[in-house]
Amino acid sequence: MVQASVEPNDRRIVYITFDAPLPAPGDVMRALFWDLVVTTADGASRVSADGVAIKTCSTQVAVHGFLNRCPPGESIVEVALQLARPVPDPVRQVDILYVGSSGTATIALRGAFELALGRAPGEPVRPAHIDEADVYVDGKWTRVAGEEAAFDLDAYAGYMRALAPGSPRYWGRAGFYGRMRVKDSPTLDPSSVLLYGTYQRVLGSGDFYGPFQSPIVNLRAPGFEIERRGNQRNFTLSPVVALPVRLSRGALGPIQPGFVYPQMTLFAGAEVVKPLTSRDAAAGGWRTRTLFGTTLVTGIAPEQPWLQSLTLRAAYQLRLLSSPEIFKDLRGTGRFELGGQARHRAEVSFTYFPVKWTGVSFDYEYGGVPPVFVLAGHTFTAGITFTLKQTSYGRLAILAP
Amino acid sequence: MPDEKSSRAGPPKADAARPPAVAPAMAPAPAPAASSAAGPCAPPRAAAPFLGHGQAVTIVCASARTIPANLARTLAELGLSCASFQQSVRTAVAAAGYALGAEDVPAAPGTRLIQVVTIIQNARRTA
Repeated sequence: MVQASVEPNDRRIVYITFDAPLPAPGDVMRALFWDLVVTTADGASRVSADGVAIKTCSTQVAVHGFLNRCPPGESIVEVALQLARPVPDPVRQVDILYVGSSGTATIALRGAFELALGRAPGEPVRPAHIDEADVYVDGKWTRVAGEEAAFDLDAYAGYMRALAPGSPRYWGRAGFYGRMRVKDSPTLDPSSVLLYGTYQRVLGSGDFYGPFQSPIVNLRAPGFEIERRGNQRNFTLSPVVALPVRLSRGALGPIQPGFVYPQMTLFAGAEVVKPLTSRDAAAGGWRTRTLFGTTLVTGIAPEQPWLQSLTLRAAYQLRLLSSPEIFKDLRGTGRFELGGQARHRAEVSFTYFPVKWTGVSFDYEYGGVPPVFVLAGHTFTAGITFTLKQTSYGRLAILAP
Repeated sequence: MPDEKSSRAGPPKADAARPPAVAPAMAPAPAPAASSAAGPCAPPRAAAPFLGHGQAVTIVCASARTIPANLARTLAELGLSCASFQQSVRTAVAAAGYALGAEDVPAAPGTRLIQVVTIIQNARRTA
């Protein structure tokens, strides 16, 4: 049993969802196997189940609701217990006990959400479990023999929420983001900072089209790119269309718990740039970078002690410049220069999380990102990673995997 | 390793997220325990004042393009873009004649499909 909840529109019904391995019909379909203990302010009492209905894994059957008999060859995904009396509201806790032919199991319902507290029939749902804040910190500290220690930090944070959330019409979502990078520095002094507002909107219905989900347009405006060591400050406008791709053919069948199915994002767009200050005195006009790229994410998340997850993230970006921009080639002179060559950027990160928010990452990196393209060649680093609560909206906006 | 497609289940049809307009060919036998018309064994009705659990499962699975066996999986595990999934659920709920706010569909990478079901099942019918 992975989750249970009280039906808000009929409190005599409790839904129970199973995880793999799914139970056989004979293991769960008898009401005698189920017992509930309902705890209120007045004490605990037992409630028996009068009936059991099931939902199988066949989508065709699922369209028609729950069944009271199992078609041949089907696995059971959910059961609905019809109780002898409704679950009261308010209630402190409901414990569901299973004692059947395949052993025993329990699950406790404690939250207001699972217990459907204060939800009248047909009452509009409230925004619950919405993670709007988006914070990501990826920091590495490396020490090379015979040299000074160096920091490498990539962190971003932002906030995004829907526009006119009470409106029946979809207006997209807007917010703001900031990203700070410390690259190969003896201190944590940031070398580059990106600040921008962002608007995001899904184009179309959101459905799948083959392996593609509906594209998402991201507009970064206004944006500011600040590079301290290069004394470069840019004002930017950047529309980018991202196309999510799930590497599966047709409907996705049952997957094992903890396996993160590979997902790619293809994107294309432009960055319209107006330098505010620059080492290049002549570089005052508007310029455009055409942008193409892709990201890939996959991994496993067993969520077991000392192995919360293993993730593989990869990204590639190509920027084609309309006019020369400043760059620093660490492989050559190491000085700031002007050049109009295509700017490639590739990164692959493999992260091991022994606990939920902290892990060890091993990174490969090539090329650089605006405003000053620091071409560092092929670099490999290892370090500690901290990841706080995050959503995926901002990652689309900043082209991160 | 994940199976590409369940041998027992066909892919969700495009209209699987819509309420059935006519009596289904594989209509389940009436459940003796379900005395309420809105009970779990009753087929979903287009005129129900709220979306209901059965239709919510159908919509969420169709939007995630998967089968109900993956209800316990997270959006990240299913390789879904959260923004597109959120929009797909909202569109399907609206097409079924029910109302959801823009922020009512949870869509973080760690959100399980069954959590989305539990939230949207109480969507109210539009006037």
